[in-house]
Parts: sequence; structure tokens; C-alpha cells
Amino acid sequence: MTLLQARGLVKRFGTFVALDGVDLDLQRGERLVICGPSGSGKSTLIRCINRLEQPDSGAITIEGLPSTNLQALRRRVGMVFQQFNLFPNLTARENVAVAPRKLLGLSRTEADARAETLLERVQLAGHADKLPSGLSGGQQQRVAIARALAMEPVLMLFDEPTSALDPEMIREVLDVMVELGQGGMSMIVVTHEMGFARRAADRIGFMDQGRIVAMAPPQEFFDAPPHPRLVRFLDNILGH
Amino acid sequence: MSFDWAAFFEYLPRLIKAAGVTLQVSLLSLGLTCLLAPLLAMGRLLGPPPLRATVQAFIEVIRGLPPLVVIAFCYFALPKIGVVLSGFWCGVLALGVVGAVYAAEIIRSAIESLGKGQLEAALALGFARWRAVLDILLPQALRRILPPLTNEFANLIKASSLLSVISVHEISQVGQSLIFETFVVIEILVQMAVLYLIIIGGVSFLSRRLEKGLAE
Ligand SMILES: Nc1ncnc2c1ncn2[C@@H]1O[C@H](COP(=O)(O)OP(=O)(O)OP(=O)(O)O)[C@@H](O)[C@H]1O
Ligand SMILES: [Mg+2]
Repeated sequence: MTLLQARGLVKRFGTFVALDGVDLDLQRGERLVICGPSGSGKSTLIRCINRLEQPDSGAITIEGLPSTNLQALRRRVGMVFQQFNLFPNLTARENVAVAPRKLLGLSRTEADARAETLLERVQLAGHADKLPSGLSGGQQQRVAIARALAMEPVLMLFDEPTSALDPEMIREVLDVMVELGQGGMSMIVVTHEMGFARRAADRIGFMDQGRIVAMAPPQEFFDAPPHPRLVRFLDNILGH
Repeated sequence: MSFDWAAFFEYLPRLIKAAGVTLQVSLLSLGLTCLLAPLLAMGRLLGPPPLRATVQAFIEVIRGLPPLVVIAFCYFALPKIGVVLSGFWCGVLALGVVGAVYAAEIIRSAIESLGKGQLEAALALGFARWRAVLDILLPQALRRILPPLTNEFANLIKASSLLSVISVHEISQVGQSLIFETFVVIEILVQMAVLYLIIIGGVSFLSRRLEKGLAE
């Protein structure tokens, strides 16, 4: 069943065309990885999906419904940022609990219980009382994942979730994401971690100059890249 | 030259009474500032575009004027549109408005200095813009708001000395007329200085206590 359908997305910044007519379908439970050179429009695409950017034209439906209410849309779509963007004045628990408490009307006890469960799920059970400044980058990003999950989204968006991390912390974040996908979460992940893509993606899309120019399951994507520019991109990134 | 203690104590009661007026004007205009500043800041940050532009223009105009001009405007121009206030209330209004535009800018810039990422994180969770600002950004900004705000409060109290031009019997007005009446200069200036220091010191002390309380 189709969870997300995007048709003809166009986004301009001034005269620059960042998205040049993007069509995208995502099935429920599907894990889609998107890669592509810097400036190709990957961030713009996923930011249009939860309307942090307003597309200039095109249509997006989620679960068949157009998103007339911004807040309702964003509650159903979780987002994880490259820079974590945790709230620095709140503990890990409060970071996760704040949205359910303020937006879903959960009591403090209920919201805290939800936060504890989610922190456990991202392997941070013992860290609930720490402020973000007391956590490593990898731990912060896992709190950010738990925070997004706290609104019980039907779709999770990740914008280069590991590119701000030291190499030794990338693995712990990717492991959480793999597990999330195995649990049936629908995900769109912008990343250059090709190991993750091979391991966890159902399909991989390649963006170039504001378009998705190739889209294929991992095996085909790596072994028979369906686009000449993708061949070059893979050569660069895999260091051939 | 020697310090004339007899004169000092003779005029002290009148200046203490004037200090009461200074204190009243200051506290009332601080109250008005605290009421208006958040409204102006939120109007500027969250209002629909026409409101935002209006608030911004208002802030720019008041900030561009010397407080004395704002005071004179309230005193001489407002009656022409039917708003007649005593010098005292005119002073409260003028100082409260001046304080509020500066405080509003302090609040706004503290919130904006948090960076786009914090706002986007809150929006992405489903917070409406105004709730993101009030529930997520403002609590973070508070510790950046209070120190400059304390400063602004002190400026406000100092600016109350300008009310002497509209004959409010506060410290500066009473001190000046005493000096011209009696030619006792140094003793009265010392009294004025000490009284200002006590009032400003008291207000600074209280807001620092508040800062500490909020930091915990
Ligand atoms: N707010 C903006 N204003 C102006 N131009 C922008 C804005 N956001 C993005 N762009 C431009 O749009 C293009 C696409 O940006 P986008 O961030 O989507 O690229 P990306 O594929 O995510 O790149 P990267 O790998 O560097 O993150 C870039 O050329 C960028 O400079
Ligand atoms: Mg990007």
C-alpha cells in the first residue's frame, strides 16, 4: 500500500532550481535510501515532504490524504537532522517527552514512561537524566531518533544522520536505524553510508541536479548502476 | 571646602520623599515594560506580516528617539488627541514604552540567536510556530534575556531623572530646585547619588536573584 506519493515537486531558491519535478512513491514499511552529490537537492526533497520547505508546485499525499494541516502532517512524519538539534536545556528524557506532553496531552508520568521505553529502544536506558551536553554525538543522535519516534510517526525522515559524527559513533546510530527498519518503520534516509544502504534499504535513489535520475534495489544499484553519472558517483564514494 | 552635615540632614527628608516618587515611577514603568515587551516581541516574531511590520516600525521609531523626546511627546502631544495624563502617569507611560521596545529587542534577538535548528526541530515534531517559540525557544532564551534586561531596568531608572522636565517631583527635579534655592550643592548631589545607587542597586539585586532562581 502506498504511504507517500509525491508528484512533480518543484522547489526554487530565487532562480536556482533545487528540485526539478520529482516524483516519488513509498510503500508502507519501505526503506528508501537517497544519495547524490552535494547540492543535488536531497535535503530539499525530504524537507519538502514535512514542509519545512514549501514546494513551489507539485503535490504530496501521505496515506492518500493531501496535507492541509501542517501540524497534523508533521506529527505523522518524524525527522532526524544532521546536527541532532536536541533542546540543550532539557534532559534526554525531557527531549523525548516534551512533544507528547505538550502536543498529545499526555501527563508527565505517561510521557516520561514513553520516553524511557524509547530511550531503552535506542540503547540509552541509563542516560535519561543527562543533558545533551553530557552525551556523545552518537548518543545525542540516538536521543534525537527517540524524540522523533515519540510522536508515533508513520514515516521517518533522516537527513545525513551520521555525517556530523566521529567514525566510531556512526555504527551505533546506523544499528538503531537498521533495527527500526526491521521493525517495519517506513523510512527515507539521505546518507552516503553505502554499507547501510546495502544492508537496510529496499530501494536506493540517486539524485542529481534536482532530479531522481536512478532508483533501484541495492543489488542492481551497486552491481549494474542504471545511470552513467551514478557510476562516477559510486566510483568516487566507494574509492575505486 | 567642608562637608556641611547640618545642611545634609536638613534637606534629606525632602529628597527621601522624592526618592519615593522615583521608586514609584520606576516600578510602575518596569511593570508596564514587563507587560508590553513580550507582546511586542511576539508580535514581531509571530504576527501576520502586516502586524510584524507595524510592530517593527514602532520599535524602530521609539528606539530612534531620545527618551526625552518621547516623554515630551506624551506630555504635550497626547492631550491634543484627548489623552490628558498627569506628569506622573505620563512619565510612567513614556518610560514604560521606551523600556518595552528595548526589552522586546532583547527578547527577539535572544530567541533568534538560538539558531534555525532549534525552531525546525520543534516544527518537525508538530509544534505550531507560536507554540515552538513559547514552549521550546523562550525557556532556552531566558538565560540570555535576563542579564541584558537587568541592565535595561537600570537604564530605565536613570531615565526617570528626565521626568524633571515635566515637573514630576522625583529625585533630580527636587534636587535641582533645592540646589537653586539654597546653593547647597555638594551635599545635595551626594544625597541624590546615594539615593539613585540604592534604588538601582536594589532593583539589580532583585533581578539577579530572579536570574539565579531561574537558572536552577
Ligand atoms: N534556503 C536556501 N536558500 C538558497 N538556496 C538554497 C537553500 N537551501 C538549499 N539551497 C540550494 O539548493 C541546492 C540544493 O540544496 P540541498 O541542501 O537540497 O542539497 P543536498 O543534496 O542536501 O546537498 P548536501 O549533500 O550538501 O547536503 C543547493 O545548491 C543549495 O545551495
Ligand atoms: Mg543536505
